[in-house]
Amino acid sequence: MIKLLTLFCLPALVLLQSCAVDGNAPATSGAGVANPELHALMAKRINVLISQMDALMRDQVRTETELDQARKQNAIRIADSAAELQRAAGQIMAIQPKLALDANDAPVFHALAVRLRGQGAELEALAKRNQIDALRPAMARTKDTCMSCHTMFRSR
Amino acid sequence: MHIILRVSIFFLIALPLAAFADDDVKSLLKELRDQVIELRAQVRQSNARINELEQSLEQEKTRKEAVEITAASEQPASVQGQPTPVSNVVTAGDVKGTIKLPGSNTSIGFGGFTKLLMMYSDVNIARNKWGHQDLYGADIPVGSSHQSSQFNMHAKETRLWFKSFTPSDFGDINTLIELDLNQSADSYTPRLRHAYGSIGNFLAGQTYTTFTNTAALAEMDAATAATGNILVRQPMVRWTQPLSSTVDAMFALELPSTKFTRGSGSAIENLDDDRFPDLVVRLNNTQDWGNISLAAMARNIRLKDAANNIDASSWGGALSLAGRVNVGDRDNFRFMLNYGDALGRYVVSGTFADASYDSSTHHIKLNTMYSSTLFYQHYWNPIWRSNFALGYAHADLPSYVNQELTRDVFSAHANVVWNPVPQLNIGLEYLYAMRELQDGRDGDLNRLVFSTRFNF
Repeated sequence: MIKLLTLFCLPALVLLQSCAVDGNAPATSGAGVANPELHALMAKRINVLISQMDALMRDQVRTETELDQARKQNAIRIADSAAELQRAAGQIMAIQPKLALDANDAPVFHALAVRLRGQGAELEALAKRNQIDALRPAMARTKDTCMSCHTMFRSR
Repeated sequence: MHIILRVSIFFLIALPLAAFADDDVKSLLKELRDQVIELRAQVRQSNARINELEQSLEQEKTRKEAVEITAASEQPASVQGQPTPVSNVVTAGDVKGTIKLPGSNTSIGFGGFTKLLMMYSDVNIARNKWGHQDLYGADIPVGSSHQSSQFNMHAKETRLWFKSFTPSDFGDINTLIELDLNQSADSYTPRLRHAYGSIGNFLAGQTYTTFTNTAALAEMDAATAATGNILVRQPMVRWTQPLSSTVDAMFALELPSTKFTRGSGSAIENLDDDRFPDLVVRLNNTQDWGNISLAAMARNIRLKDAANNIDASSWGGALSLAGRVNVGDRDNFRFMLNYGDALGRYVVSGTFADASYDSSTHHIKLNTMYSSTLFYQHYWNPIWRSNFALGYAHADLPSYVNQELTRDVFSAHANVVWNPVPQLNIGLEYLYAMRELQDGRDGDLNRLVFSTRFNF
């Protein structure tokens, strides 16, 4: 009996301990510190959250209102990550001078970074408005921007 | 001599002339080579210029697109597809699948599904038993009298729900009413599954017991739930207190209902004479990786039968550790472990009693139980998925009870579900279930279930 109680009490302690830690906060790199990989991390996180949203649309056990709440929480996480994605796009713009791009490439790089920031804003707005069906197409457009930029500049 | 002289004169004249002709050809070739070099340089220049112009064109195009997207994203939210509320038209609701009535802040929605189950079992179960149409532990036949196969079809899991959502200064107001046609085993009488309302952190009405972490329930979309699940719906009042952005605590008072066996009787009785509500506390932690919960329940198990001079009660408790872990993009693993001496009616509906009454000593003994469910959901691709589940439940009963009462129930499930569009699910499931009695005898069930579900 004591062993069984211990078995159940340990997870309770872990649960309470986690109150102090926000495990859902996006992994940021710290204020003002440029991290070129941050946008990739955020894009990946948004992709995973959108897939989880798809799974929530297929859930058959929870009640409709429970699912609405779970979808809303997921949408908030997507909005948070999209906001982080915009900050990451800003960091990309900030590091542009260090890349020593020529007069032809610089405007293209800048335009793609601006586009990424705009698409992050679009994702954030959609998630905040709980427009679940529009999230995946918006993310696909963001992915296109990432691909364009990587194709043109990653090797340089 | 004469001839030799002539030949010599010829060579003296012809050789210098030939030398002059060779110089002309060389000069001509040099001229041509210079021209080719010059032309090559011109072609290179032209190509470079064309490339330059093409790049400029592409840059201009990209810049224009980026400016357009930036301008669009900087517009206020109300401009981006969010129409200004109009008092005389129906608009989209605040949650998916709802509409807002004119001049109202309330989003309403209704939906449901029609579901057909077609099943073939290797044993036969009487038509008026739940096990005839569902996996029901207590109805798994034991003994040779049931050894003939059986085919059955029904649409009793067909479901209809209505919901509403209204934002308010005191928190969101949600309501849900949900019905199916599963009130009894041998009819299509409608049954109330859920009927509750909530405002902010407060909920009142009938829904899943707070003791269950619904996100961790095994969902066998083709057929029924695994054996160890706790799938009780009952009236309650509940308060949910957020402790951080990821952790919350739930406190609930729920409908009590003592189920017991009397002496060596085999019937599970319910006298409906309870005095205290079932008290439930649950701690939830929700993260990106999934969620985990720990629930505790206290119940007053009471038997009051004045006619037979029975008046006994005892407090019991139970714990439930449950969780759901996301694996990759869509797959997930779920588990539920339950233990306690007040689990009884909560596990494998109708199969186990909460307590055993000893007729000779007039005392009750709470039945200590444990149950568990392990579940894995795998998406082969976005439209094909499979669910795998194992469930087990066990009750420690005193020696004086009827030896035909259930001691163990086990089930294993595997299915494949085709979900080509959100409105349609077609599934095929195989399940094996086993029941063991107190006296050690057992019986098993093999069942193949085909299901269709049309959502609306």
